[in-house]
Amino acid sequence: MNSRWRKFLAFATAAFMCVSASTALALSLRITSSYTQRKVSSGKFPIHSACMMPPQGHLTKIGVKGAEGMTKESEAWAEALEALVESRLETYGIAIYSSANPLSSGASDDEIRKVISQVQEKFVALSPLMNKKPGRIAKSAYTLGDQVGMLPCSENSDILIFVQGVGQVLTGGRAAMTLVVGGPAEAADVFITMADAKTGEILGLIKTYPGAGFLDNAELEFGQRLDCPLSNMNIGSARKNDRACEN
Amino acid sequence: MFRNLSSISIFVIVGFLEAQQPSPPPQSAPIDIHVSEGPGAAFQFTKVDDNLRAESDAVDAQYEGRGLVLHDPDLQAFIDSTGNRVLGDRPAPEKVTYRFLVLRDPMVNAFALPNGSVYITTGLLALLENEAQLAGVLGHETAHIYERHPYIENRSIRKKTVASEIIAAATVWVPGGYGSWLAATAAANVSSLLLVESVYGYSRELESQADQDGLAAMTVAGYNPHAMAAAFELLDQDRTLEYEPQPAFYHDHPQLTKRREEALAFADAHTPASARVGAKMDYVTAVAPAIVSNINTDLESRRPRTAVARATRLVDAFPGVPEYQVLLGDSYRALGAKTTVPTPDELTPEGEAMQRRKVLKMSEQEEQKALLKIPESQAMLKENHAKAEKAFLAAIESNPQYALAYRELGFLYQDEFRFADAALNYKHYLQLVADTSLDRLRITRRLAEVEKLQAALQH
Repeated sequence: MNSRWRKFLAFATAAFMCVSASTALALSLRITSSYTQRKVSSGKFPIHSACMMPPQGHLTKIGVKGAEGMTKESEAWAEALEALVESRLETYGIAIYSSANPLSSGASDDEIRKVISQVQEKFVALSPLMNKKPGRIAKSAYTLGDQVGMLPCSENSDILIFVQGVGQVLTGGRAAMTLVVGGPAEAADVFITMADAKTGEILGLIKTYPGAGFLDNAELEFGQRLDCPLSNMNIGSARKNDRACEN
Repeated sequence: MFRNLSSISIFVIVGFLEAQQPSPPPQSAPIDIHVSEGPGAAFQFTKVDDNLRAESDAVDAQYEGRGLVLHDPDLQAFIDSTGNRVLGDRPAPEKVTYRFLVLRDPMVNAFALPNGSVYITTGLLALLENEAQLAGVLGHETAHIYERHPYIENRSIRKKTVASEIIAAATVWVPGGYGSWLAATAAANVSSLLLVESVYGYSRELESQADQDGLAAMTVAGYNPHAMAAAFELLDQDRTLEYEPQPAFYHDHPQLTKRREEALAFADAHTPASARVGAKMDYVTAVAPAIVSNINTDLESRRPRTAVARATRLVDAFPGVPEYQVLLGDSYRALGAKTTVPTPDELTPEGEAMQRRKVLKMSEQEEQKALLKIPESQAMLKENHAKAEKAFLAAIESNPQYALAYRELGFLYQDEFRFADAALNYKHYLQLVADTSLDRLRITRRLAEVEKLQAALQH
């Protein structure tokens, strides 16, 4: 083996190690985190019911030749995420309402849709700041305003829940390429935000980052990750419980 | 090349509707303008193209499902009539069904999907001044469809190794980037990556082609192309009103200057004698529902300066409409301690950096709190509150039964710690509003709160 070849091998190995280490580090940093307003974490604001706002999901398929949108799949994924959150909350004894349900308000679908849309707009406008500085949730820094009280579900619910997900999936070819030369990995960001259903104050945020296979194995990749933050938030029967956070 | 292959010549014998506004010196001779019909049969669909078209259909459904499409019969009729006029009798390309839709979105923008859906945002409709400007925008967007730009650009992107990075720039798939993605969606309400190019602009070459084709199409349809040059100027003036982390194509400054120059050159050479512009008042009347929707969206999206500008326009046009007076009052109330237009300091690079920090690091309430440390801003708050009160009272004067005016006046008085006045107006609102109103409970809660605060004050 001549010296040039050895140098090349050493360089290639070093480059591979760098790529692997940085990928591993990046993945390891993507741990579930949660932020809770003090009155919730202290138990002064008990949560027994929740109103689900329309979920938002966004998936991208990355192939060897580039990326493609997955609009239909995104909608289905968003609904799946919402269903998982709902079932998790129901496990803890939380009563679930839909924001689109008129309940006893007598309001028309159009009226409700308009209010939902207003609340969503406010939420989307607030989200960048909230996600950038989530620590300030504890100090009641963010609010959607009391217009959330216009939602019919607001009367029966303690909190509103917003579920948002952004994910990328790889085609077989791209996944193989990633293994060899590095590149994008299959992963997602899923954020769950809770707001006071009467005042609009943001009460909690859970950020979780499901990894590869998040579409096929949503419960394992996402659902189970919610237990610890939900128990930290004293939601329903999910009282503070170290065991929930062991895994 | 596609253009050369398939463009057709349409000789325009000037004979359209009379001009309603003064135009630059017109030319008297008939004008030979080429309006492209795109590559036509020369464009061969691939599987990738079909996927993109299917994706466009899904995006249409998503927008509709999320309530982002504004439905107003009169507004729709106006947009359709202008759009169809621009399309003329050119046949629609294969696999295209033209539809003109209004998107509830504060971003000043318009874009076209490859399936023929042309979206114009309420933000752009609220800014434009006349029908000819709208025709210019629709001409530009329909040109993208005729020329198959979404397909061409999509193929081009897929060939580039940087494709995923381009897409990532839109979704901001980087650590901590989710916030930026939301910022983009907040501005554009765009959830599908295929739209990134169409929303933020195609390559310069394709955009320039669409500009030229759009100008030709509007001129052939009888509109004055000078209006498009004026629209570019208007867009350029408007772009500094609010801080935008990611300006859309219609707010891209260097491009706008160049596009205006090109439009002027075209218009100077091709304006027919009786080219139509359309009266400003007719336009505001037609697009008023879009302006109203946009003011509400601006208020939810932390864009109070735009809200004030648009509401002022509505009130100037229709001073006796209480709904518009209330929107103006709401806009001044939301403006708080800010000025109605950016101060010269805000327009400097340092000022822009400061704006960026405010938007990205401070909530609306924190921004107002910080502003109120400055005496000038305190005076501005008083001035804006006085204007808001005046607008609400004008609405009540126009129609004493208009419930919303009392509610908003109540909000204003509550902000000013005038709890007794707030309570009075909340009570008035509750008397006037229907029992099924979604706001009844919220205002009842507010009323209880202000009465409690008033009682505490008296003690």
